[in-house]
This record gives sequence, C-alpha cells and structure tokens, in this order.
Amino acid sequence: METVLRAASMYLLLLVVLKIAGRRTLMEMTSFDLILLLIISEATQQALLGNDFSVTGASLTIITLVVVDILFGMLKARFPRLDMLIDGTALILVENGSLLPERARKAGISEEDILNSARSTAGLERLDQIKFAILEKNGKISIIPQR
Amino acid sequence: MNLKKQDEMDSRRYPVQEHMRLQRIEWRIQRIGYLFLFTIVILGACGLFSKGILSNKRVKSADGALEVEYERFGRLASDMSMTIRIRPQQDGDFRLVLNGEEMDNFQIQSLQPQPQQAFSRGNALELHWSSPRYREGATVWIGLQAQNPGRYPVTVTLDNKTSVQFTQWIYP
Repeated sequence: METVLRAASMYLLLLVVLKIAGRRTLMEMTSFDLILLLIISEATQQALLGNDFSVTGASLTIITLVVVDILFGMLKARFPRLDMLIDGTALILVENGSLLPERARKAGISEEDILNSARSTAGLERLDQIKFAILEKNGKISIIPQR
Repeated sequence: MNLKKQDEMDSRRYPVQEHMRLQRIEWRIQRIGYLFLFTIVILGACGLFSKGILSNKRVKSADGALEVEYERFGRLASDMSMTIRIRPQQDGDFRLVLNGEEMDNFQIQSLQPQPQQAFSRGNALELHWSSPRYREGATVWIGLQAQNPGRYPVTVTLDNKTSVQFTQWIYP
C-alpha cells in the first residue's frame, strides 16, 4: 500500500509544482534546464523507491504511475475544463505584428523570446513580420508569418 | 494599432480558440503558488521539516538533573539524533528509561556509550550505566530512525526520579 501511496502522491506533487512553475520554466531546455530535470528525477526516485530494490517494488511503482496517468487522462476527457486548467490553453501573444504586452508579461515571456522563436522556427527578423505568435500548451511558441 | 487593456484580455477565436477566463485563473493560481513555494523553501530552511532552528529543541527536567536535546520534527526513514545530558551525581550509577510509543516506532541505530545492561518493560526501554567516571556527569548519544509517520510522545526518565516529556512529529 505504501508504494502505491508514494507513487500517487509524488505524481500529484509534481503535477502541482510543475503547474505552478509554469509552462515555460522547464521547457526552454537550455543545458541547465536539462540538468535541473535530471536532478529532479533523481530526487523523485529516492522518495518513490526508498530502500526497495525489488522488482516487485519497481513494477508496482511504475504501474501505479501509469494508472494515475491514465486516470487523469480519462478525467480530462470527461471534464474538458479540468483539462484546460491542468494543461492550460493556447495563448496568442502577437497579433498582426503587434505584441500583446499585458499577456506577455503575465505569461513571463519577453519580446526577445518571441523573436528568438521567430528566427529559429520561421526565419523571421522583426515583430511586424509575424502575424500570430501563439504560446502552445507544451510551452513552445508557434510563429505564423505575415503573408 | 494600440490595443486597450480590456481588449487584450478578451478571448480570441482565430487562429486558436482561447479561454481567457481560465487563463486568468491559471495566472492567479500561479501567483498564489509562487508564494506557497517560497514559503515552503523558507520554512524548510528554518527547519520546519526537520534539522534546523525550528526543529532543534532542548528540554530540561525541573531539578535540572536531566537535559535532552532532540528534534521536534523528523522524517520517515531518515536519521535523527537525540542527546541526553546528565548532571554530575553522587555515585557513578544511572538508569535511563525511554518510554512511550517511541520505542515501537523508532529503530535505534546507535547508542553511545553502550549501556552495561538493557531491559525492556512493556513499551519502555531501560538502560543502565555504571562507572566511577560518570560521577562527573554523562552524555548519551542516540541515533534514531523513525519507521512510521505521526505524532509521538516520548518520556525520558532518569533513575525513576526525574523525567522530561516531549513530542516528536514524524513527516511521511
């Protein structure tokens, strides 16, 4: 029972903490973010398994995590609002070449971040070449160029 | 084109369907969440989750013969220490009794110095030391590991005369 509770509570804790941290915090994937993720997984692993080196313990933990994930998937499919609250929704940051400053500020994204995405994904140089910049659920910024 | 603030917070339908109401709730939750996380870090640094100034406690018996340093907060399956200090006495003999559910829940990892004799009596652990050197007072160091989470009252008794009581809270 303890193993199941450990796995389920760690799942919920990570869900809440990563939600609070925001979409972008761990998604930018500089080399430092990668290391941070590795450290987080290392710290999680200790709490999940403790001193248990058995195959049964590891299997039970893995299966519990997957089952909780499936349950959340079912809940999200049943209640779309829950899905929007947990995963967030797409957010438009640039509209017809002009930045929506209040939104960008609240989402913690600077003009520079958007231009960075514009250069790397669409080969654009200036903000006015962007028709729409959209912060997606997964934390990436999609760029739709002006035609 | 200069957008008004009100307009900026309206939901767009194109190119994606937005839900600004939920988005604003999300931002508010995040703001509260930041505060919550900061508080946890600060409290953690102060020792609310064991090992720190909020956690390290010291109790003295009424006559001052017995003093126990313990950790107010402990964590499941991690080490914690307890130091018992005894004032100089007439003879070099002393007996300590550790009482309560403590003993069911805690594994004693180390006990220094080793007692000459050890007994159990119900839920209590009775330890006996004897050496002329203890006339100058003695210190006993105990390393413990909690096996279950919860709140545990502990009583330490010296020579059946004087005792101190305290509680320990074990986090899961």
